[in-house]
Amino acid sequence: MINVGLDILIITRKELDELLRNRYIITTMASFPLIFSIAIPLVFLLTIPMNLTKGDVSMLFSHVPGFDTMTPHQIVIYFLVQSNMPFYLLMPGLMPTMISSYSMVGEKKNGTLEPLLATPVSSLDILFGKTLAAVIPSVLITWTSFFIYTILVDVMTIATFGYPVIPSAIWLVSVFITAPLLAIMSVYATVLVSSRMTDVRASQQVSAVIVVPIMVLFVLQLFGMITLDTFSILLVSAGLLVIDVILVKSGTRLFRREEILTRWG
Amino acid sequence: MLTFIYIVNADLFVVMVIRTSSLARRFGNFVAVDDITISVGKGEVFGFLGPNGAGKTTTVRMLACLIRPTSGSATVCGLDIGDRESASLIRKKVGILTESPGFYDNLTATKNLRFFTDLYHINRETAEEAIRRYLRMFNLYDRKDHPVGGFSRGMRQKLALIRCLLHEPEVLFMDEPTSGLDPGSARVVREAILDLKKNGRTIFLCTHNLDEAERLSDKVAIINHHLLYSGTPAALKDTIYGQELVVRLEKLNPEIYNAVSSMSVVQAVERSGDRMILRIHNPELHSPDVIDAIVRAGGRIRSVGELGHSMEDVYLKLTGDD
Repeated sequence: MINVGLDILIITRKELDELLRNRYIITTMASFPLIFSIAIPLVFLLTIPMNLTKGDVSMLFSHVPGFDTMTPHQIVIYFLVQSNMPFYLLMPGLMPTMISSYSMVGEKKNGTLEPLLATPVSSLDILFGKTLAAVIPSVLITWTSFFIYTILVDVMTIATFGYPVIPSAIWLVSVFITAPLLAIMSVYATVLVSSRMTDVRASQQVSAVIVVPIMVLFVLQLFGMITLDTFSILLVSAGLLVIDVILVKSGTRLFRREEILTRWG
Repeated sequence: MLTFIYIVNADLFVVMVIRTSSLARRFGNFVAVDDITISVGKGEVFGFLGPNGAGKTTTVRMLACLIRPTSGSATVCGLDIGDRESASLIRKKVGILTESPGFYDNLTATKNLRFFTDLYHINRETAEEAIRRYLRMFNLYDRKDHPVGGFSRGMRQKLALIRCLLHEPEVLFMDEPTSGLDPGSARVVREAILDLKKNGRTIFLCTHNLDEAERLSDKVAIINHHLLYSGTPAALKDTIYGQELVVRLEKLNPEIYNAVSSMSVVQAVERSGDRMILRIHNPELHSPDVIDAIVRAGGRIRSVGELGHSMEDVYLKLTGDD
């Protein structure tokens, strides 16, 4: 049992070691906090006009709880701060796909999979090791980005509100529950796709399936067509949990020595 | 349940490290390997020959417990390959050198090797010592901290060989170990194979290099989905061609030819100028009688020799590519 855990850690450590040497992935991953946690909030926080009237922001009333106690400037800030939440779901949806595509298809392409499968390590441990190596950095970057975003937004708006506007319950649920579930979904969707792919970029296309619904969520919220609340995010998380269970089962079935060596393209 | 079955060849008292019985593997309707029955003794180099797609890799994968046979059975190091609990133990006892030496190109040679010693749970001190020793043996020590992505094909092949030796396996499955290597590197690998054999390792050598197979192997098997031959290289040649005698005469006339061809011990006579190629039943016993008959028929013999056939001739004849 101790060895089982050890094998997973050995695989994860090697994967992370390789990941740190992949300039393309590192650059892309480093750009997420820079764009979503610094650049975008700075742009909107510095460009909101001060001379807004209630009439200018009336269409946002239904999306901002407690709007009647806020100034128009506060209402716009609050709305835009909340609107950025889908970006923090986008990160754990995108990053694991990038990492695990390299990990799965790259290994297949480089001919390292068979020597790895020839070791006494169980295929399940290999899969779990690779999963952790994709999920941990993605989730950590999402959390770090959220931390930076929270600090930046609160520092820049504390004078306006008199209290920190984030984190709120919906943010905490999204970042700490929904994001890891999305990361797991992303990894196992990549495993399923990678079994049929021989090109890393092609296997990364699976991210589109995950990104599109999140972007739809973002656009719908930005245009005021939906309002995400804690309950709806919890519902989304429950749905993701079900999908994760199904994907993990299918991925585990697919990631067996026999399957990999005889059926993977 | 684990089953330990070390099979001992009763005649020679050789411990059989690999033994298969009617081993077969199908992929849908395609029969990749059919009815393979072979045995490999401890410390033997076993040449496993066959054309591309003949089922060599599939056989190795079954023996290394990477895929399961459709039917038949096999034991490796006394463990049944069909037993799920044995699979991990077998993989601990064998090393596989795959045909294409894949590595994590961004990692250094040492990191690549250390990853595998970790997976075999070799303690760090022993592993570091083994890594240093093998890197020196294969002249790669100076490149130990270089990323493998910059290595030549030959260096990668040597590194792959080191990788499969680090856990000191009892059995080594080698798929084309010298393919793509320059003559110098190929010699280093061949010498390493012989050293390993001296140290009692069993080597299952898949190769297209027939000269290499003949030079290194104690026994060979030729397959083309099913087993065409299994035995020593010398016996293989005898089986296919028999022992053939070449007799060069000053002049070959019909009397001599008739005298020889009418002998009951002569199975076949082929004439080529003043040469006769004779296939004789039990040549050790009957060659003197045949020579005597030639001399009595008036023949003056210039030379007598045994006709040699290369492994390539035998292989091509057996696989039908002749």
